[in-house]
Order: sequence, then structure tokens, then C-alpha cells
Amino acid sequence: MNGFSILFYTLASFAILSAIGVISVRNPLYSALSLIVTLFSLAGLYVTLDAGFLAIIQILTYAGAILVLFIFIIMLLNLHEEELVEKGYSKIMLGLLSCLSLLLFLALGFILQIPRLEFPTMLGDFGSAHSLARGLFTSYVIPFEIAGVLLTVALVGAVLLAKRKFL
Amino acid sequence: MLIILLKILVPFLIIMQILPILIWLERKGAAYIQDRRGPNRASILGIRLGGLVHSLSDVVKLINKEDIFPNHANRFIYTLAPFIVMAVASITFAVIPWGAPLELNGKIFTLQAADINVGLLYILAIGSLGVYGIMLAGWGSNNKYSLLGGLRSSAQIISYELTLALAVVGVLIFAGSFELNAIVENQGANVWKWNVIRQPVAALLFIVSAFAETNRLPFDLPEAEAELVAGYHVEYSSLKFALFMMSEYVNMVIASALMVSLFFGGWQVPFLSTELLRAHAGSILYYALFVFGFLSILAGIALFRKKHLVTYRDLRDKETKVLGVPAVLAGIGIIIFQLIHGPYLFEATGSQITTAFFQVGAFLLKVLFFCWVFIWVRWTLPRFRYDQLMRLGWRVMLPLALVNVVVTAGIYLIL
Repeated sequence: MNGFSILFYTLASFAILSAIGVISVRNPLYSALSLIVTLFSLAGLYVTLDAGFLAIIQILTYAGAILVLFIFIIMLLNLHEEELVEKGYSKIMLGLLSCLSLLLFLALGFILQIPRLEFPTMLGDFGSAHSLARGLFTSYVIPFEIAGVLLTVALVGAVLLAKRKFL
Repeated sequence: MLIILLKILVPFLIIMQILPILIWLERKGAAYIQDRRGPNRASILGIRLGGLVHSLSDVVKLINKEDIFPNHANRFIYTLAPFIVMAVASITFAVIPWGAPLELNGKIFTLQAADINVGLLYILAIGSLGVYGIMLAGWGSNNKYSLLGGLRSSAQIISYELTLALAVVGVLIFAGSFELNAIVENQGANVWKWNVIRQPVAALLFIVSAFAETNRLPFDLPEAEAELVAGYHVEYSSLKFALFMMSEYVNMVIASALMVSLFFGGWQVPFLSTELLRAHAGSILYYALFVFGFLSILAGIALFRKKHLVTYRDLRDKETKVLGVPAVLAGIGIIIFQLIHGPYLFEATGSQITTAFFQVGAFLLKVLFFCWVFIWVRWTLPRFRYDQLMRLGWRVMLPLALVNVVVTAGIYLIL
């Protein structure tokens, strides 16, 4: 086990543990905080995959902006534990869902084992800002712009909903 | 390994040494702006250094204070918050370049702790995390003033972060890289090519949003003492409060270092490029030491002849003599040493190290100047109202930053 795999397993276990924390902790603020830890460990994993730019952008947008808004909302509402109503899912449903997800993971592992499936090799400057920008603004410019328009539409819709008078 | 450790430790220690000086500068600056004398009482054996000793007594005081936990505060989050603020503030300095890379024995040593190719984005990303500490402090203290401070801080930092990031885009277009060292080298030693001349609007926007990001007046709404007592850190005492206070000044140093690196030529000595400095390192050092010795003599004489308004009848009366005489002697000593040894001639290694000293010195002087600008503005301008702050951020600065990006890109394409 070299240093690289130690780093990988540490980050991966941090990511998984904190992701479990997000859904199992009762206090919504702790939940949001563990989500931040998840995002950080994922950013660390991106760095080990030679995608430093993606890692930094992940921290900048998710941890730096979106999660701040999450915590902002949680603080504003200031929920207490007794106000959180438990939603009833039947235990059979939960069992079935977890079985299904386990099956999906196993299937994924099986597919990756098939030797015929070849992954394309990465270019030398993979993950750098230059190559990413070149991809975004040449071959994938239309999906990129459509995503931008979609986000704008969502933003306008949110503002419209917020401004509507509820009588 | 040792070099990496040094690279991490030395900048951190330098910043920690700047902090007491900044606190002293803030108090003295505030005093003179408000026509007062400022701190001048604390002394060690009569040595007061114009109030600098007060910073030392502050540390002793803060360590000895009782560490209070407010009732019903969330203990874990309450304790975590100051550590987040301080840790975030101090790891940001890893990518700031202090001087041109050295080439010793065929190896290249960069004068920055981590030479990563997304340096600028790293600073923006890590810098945006500092708000968590403030928010958690506000929430964890279980105090309405703290909570309001935390909420204000989060909204303010998110609003001004956009302008901060967009203002930098113009600089990135010129440099073509996220590396801070590349940005500094791209500006060159010629003052007329620095980014503050090429990108004046971006420089102004960056400085204003840096003030907002560091929660300094006129944007210090999270701790506005007139309405929120002290905002997010009202419940903190002892060393936890000290951490908040230190992180405010560390953030100030980082914001200044960023301004200097992005818009004011970073480590470049004005009009003296790295090549020129390296070629004439010996003679430049020779003349610089002459000037230094001369200034030291002048300062010593000025101290010695200073009239006392009050006599204390103790050791403090002799302070100016005790400081003035050695200054004069040191100045004379330096000049005599210079005259005996004549102009210096350096080998390649020596000239590079001398150059590095000059560049680090230039960088530190510029950073200190911008820290002084922070203090100067704080004691000159009144605080914004919250709606004015938001209107300025979203309706004035953000559109200006966007226009600046488009115009810069257009000009760059045409040229």
C-alpha cells in the first residue's frame, strides 16, 4: 500500500462516513456540516485523479456558496427537534430499496470487470483549466449554453414564485 | 523535506510577527486620526516603543482571561468556530509568491509554499470558507445579536464574492494563467505595466469587495458595535476571542497581499527587474545600505533631541536616549563598514539571494502599505446601512465587473 492509496482510502472513508452522517444526524445544522466534509473529501479525491481545477471549483461553488445558503436557511428557520415530523416509509419499502441499491452496485462492479469495455486514455493536460475550457467552448458548447439557459430559467421562476402574492 | 517545512513555517511566522505591528498601527492610526495620543503607557524597563509594548500586554491579558461558555450554547460548534476562522485564514497564504524563483545549483526554488497551477482559484475557494466560522460562531453562541451578525456575514460575503471573482477575470486574461507567480511576472517591473494601470476599474472593484470580504469598515455589518454589540463574537472571551481578532488581521494581510500580487506588481521592485537586480546585486546593496545607515543616524538624532512634554521621574524619561544613541552608532558603524569594504561583488548564488531579499522586502512594504489603507479607511468612513450594502453589491459593483470583463476581453481580442 503506497502513499497514494492510503490517501485514497482515507478520503473515501471520510466521504462515506460523512455522507452517512448527512442522512442519519437529527440536527439539520450537523447534517449540513457533514455535507461540507463530504464535499471536501470528494474534492480531495478529484485532486488524486489529477483534476485540480474541478476540485477547486467544487469547493468554490458547493462548499463556498451553496452550502453557505443552506446553513443560512437552517439558521433562519432555527428548527428544533420536536418540530421535525418523521415521515413514515414502511419498513418493507426501505428493505427493498436498500437491496436494489446493493444490487446496482454489484452490477456496476461486474460491468467494470468485463475486459472488453475499454476506457479512453486521458490526455496529458487532463483536468487543467485550459483543456476543460477548450472542451466546454468547442465540442460541448451547445450543451453548456443550454445548461446556462436552464439555470437562468430556474432563477427567474424562483423569483417569480417568491414575488407572487399569496392571498 | 526541510525546505518544504521552511517554506510552510517562514511565511506563517512572518505573518504572526506582522500582527502585533498591525494592531499597534491600528491603535496609533486611530488615535492620530481622531487627534489623540493613542496607547503609550505599557513599558518594559521604561522602553515603550511608542506603544508597541501594548500588544504584548494584550496577549498576556487575553491568555489570563476566563474562558466563558454561555448557557445553552452549542458547546461543540461554539468551540469549533474560532478554529475554523483561524485555520482558513492561515492556510490561504500557501500560494502567495514572495519573490522570483531562485535557481541554486541547477535546482529551482519557488518562494511560495505551494506552487499549484490553480493558485488564484485556491485563494478564492479557501477564502470563501472563512464565513463558516463566523456563521457557526453566530449560531453556536445562542445569542440574538450573534445570530444576526452571522446571518449578515453570510449574505454579505456571498454577494461580494461574485464581484471579487469577476474583477480578477481581466487580470487572468492578460496573464493567461491562474498561477499567482505568472501573474506577477506578467506585470513586470515597469510600474506603467502593472495591472492597476491596465485594469483600473477591476482594481477598484477588487479593493472594495476585499473590504467587504474581510468584514472591515465600511462593511463591518456582522460586528457593527452600534447595533449588534459586537456581532458574531459577542459571547467569546479569552483565547477564543483572540483567535477571532487575529484572524481579522490575518485576513487583512492576505487581502493586501492579494491586491499587491494581482494589481500592484507583487514582489517586483519598481523599475528594477529581476535580471537587473541580479546583475547589479552588489552595487545596489552597497547604495541601499548607505541610505539605510544615513536614515538610521537621522532617526537616532531626531529621537535624541525629542522634547519631553512630561517628566515621569523614572526609567521612561531615558527611553529616547536609550533608543537614539544605538541608532546613531549603528548608522555610523554601517557607513564606516561600507567605506572600508567597498562595493560588493557577488557570485551567482549570492546575487540571487540578495535579489530575493530585496523582492521580499518590496513585497512586505507594499503589503504593509495596503494594511495601512485598510486602517485608514476604517477610521475615516462611516458604516453602510444593510440595504445600501446590498444595493451597492448587486446593482453597482456586479454590473460594473461584468462590463469590465466584456470590455477587457474585447480590447484584448482587437489588440
